[in-house]
Amino acid sequence: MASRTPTSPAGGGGRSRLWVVPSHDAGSPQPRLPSPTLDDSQLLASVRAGDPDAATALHDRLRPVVERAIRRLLGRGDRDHEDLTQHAMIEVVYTIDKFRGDCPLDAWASTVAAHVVYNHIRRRTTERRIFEGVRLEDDDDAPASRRSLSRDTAARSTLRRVFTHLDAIEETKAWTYVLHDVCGYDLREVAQITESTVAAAQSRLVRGRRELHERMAGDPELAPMLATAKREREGLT
Amino acid sequence: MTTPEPLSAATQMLRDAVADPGDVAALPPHRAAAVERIAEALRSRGQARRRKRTLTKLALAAGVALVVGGGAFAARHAHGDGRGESAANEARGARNLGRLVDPTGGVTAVREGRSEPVGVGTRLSEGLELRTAAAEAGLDFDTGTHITLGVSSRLRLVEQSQRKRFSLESGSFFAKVAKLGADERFVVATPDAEVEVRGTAFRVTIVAGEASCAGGSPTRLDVSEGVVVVRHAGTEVRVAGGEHWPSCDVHTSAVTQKDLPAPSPVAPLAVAAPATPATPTAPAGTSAAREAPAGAASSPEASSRLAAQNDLFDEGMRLKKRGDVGGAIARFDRLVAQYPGGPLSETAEVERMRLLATTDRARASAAARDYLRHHARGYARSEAEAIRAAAP
Repeated sequence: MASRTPTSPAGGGGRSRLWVVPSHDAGSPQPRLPSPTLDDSQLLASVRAGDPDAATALHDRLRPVVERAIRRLLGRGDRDHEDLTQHAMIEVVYTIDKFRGDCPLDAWASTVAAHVVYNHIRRRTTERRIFEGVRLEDDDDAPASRRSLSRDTAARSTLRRVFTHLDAIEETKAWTYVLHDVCGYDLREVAQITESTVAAAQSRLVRGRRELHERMAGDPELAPMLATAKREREGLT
Repeated sequence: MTTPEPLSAATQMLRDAVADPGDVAALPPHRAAAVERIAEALRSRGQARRRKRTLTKLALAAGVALVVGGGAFAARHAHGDGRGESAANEARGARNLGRLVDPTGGVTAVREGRSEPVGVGTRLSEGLELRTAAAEAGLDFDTGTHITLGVSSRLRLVEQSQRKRFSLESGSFFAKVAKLGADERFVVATPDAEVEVRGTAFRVTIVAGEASCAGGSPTRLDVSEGVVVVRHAGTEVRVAGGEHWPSCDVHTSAVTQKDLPAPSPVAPLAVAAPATPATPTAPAGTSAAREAPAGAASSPEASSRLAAQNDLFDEGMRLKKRGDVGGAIARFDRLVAQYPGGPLSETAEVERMRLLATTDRARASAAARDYLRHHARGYARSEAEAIRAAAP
């Protein structure tokens, strides 16, 4: 990859974003994963039976789901990203019996992937932080205009301040808040990811929110920054 | 301009920051390698599934055989010979399996003639034979039971479900068995005897037998806490803490009490009740004199007497742990007074003596004197003598 440029995601309506994606020549689109050769019920039956011929179909079907879950929690620049994706795919194979069909396969695979990330970050001896990749990426990209430069710089600065508060609260509460409020996992899934009960997850969520709120409300510089960010977003959408 | 509520505004910012993960459907650079690793996992899963199916079939077959086989099979089954049951237990999970801990030297696990590497923390499944060379090996169970396999020993893990059955082929084996549930058993077989325990500490050793002692039996047993039952040559012998079996053997001079670990806070619980109350002043090492036919110990009356002793002892230990020294001493006093010569009386006397030593040296000295009178060769003899010597 030669350069990294800021982009506006499809359907984003030109919102201010903090990530960058590799630029590709318009004439040479990135090769895509082929469509899986088995439907979900066939795939599940084959995986449950331990049929190695289902490996390709499983990979092509669930890799995007797993990849999305990992990128949301770590960002794209994480050094362990590829290993984690592979680990999560293997975990899907070994835990397939726990999938009872009471939620979509995508949601279940996403939960498994988030659980792998959760365990990974807690085991790391350095950089034990959520969104590590999000924090690190984008420092060297070049915005398209002076206006967007100013906007992005302000947004990054605000986000860094938010991360500071997130890092200051207890880890499991921070995780629960991020998984539930930011990433959209429900409490049952959060409990599964963090290896706790639904009641414990709920308690952590309530306490985590309260602590974060108190910390942020007590930060006199953050309020105007958030107000600016909100105004920017509303002005752009 | 209104200031946004900080948390909801920050949450929205974070959502925006992670909302678009980029192109996740792009063909990854190492797709073939990734697929191969998944295929490997699937193959491994397939093998595990087939193994589980086989075990389930075995368990079912054993169940059917149990129904049609009648009494003979049931009797064998009760003694833990049910291979089908073992298979079912294996499939049920690894919680019953011991973990290798702190080996001080190389430990080899042999299954079906093939050696397997055994690392610290490995759960050891049934059917394995553990072999030690110049060092001991420890085995921990989730229940709190701990086993130490002596040097140059061979121990086969015959059954590792709620029923633990070991076969000591050679060497020695020390076990500290935590309190067992109603459906749990702990049995060690030697070439000629079977030792069954219910929450105690003991050592079994295979030695060169002498024809003049116990018909040349090579099995030697030293009990440091609680009560152990030995079945040998059609008889059942109860061996209490501080005693050894066979009583005619002098090998205990080689395996003295100081070789055995100190009694633990795990309450030793006796399972086999004496057929008749033993004489309080009977010296230790005379268990052979109380030999009774197998089964004599299982009368309802004896069981209930034993249960009462267990309860009293348990209560005493609980109070001791809680720091209620006076309450604990009172329970041990009652146990000794109500069940003199009972399977737990010696241990209760020792516990009482130890507690008194921390609070009342004069009474401790008297307790030590009583202990030495009742248990001239008891396992806490040196401790009692020290208390006596330190008395004012």
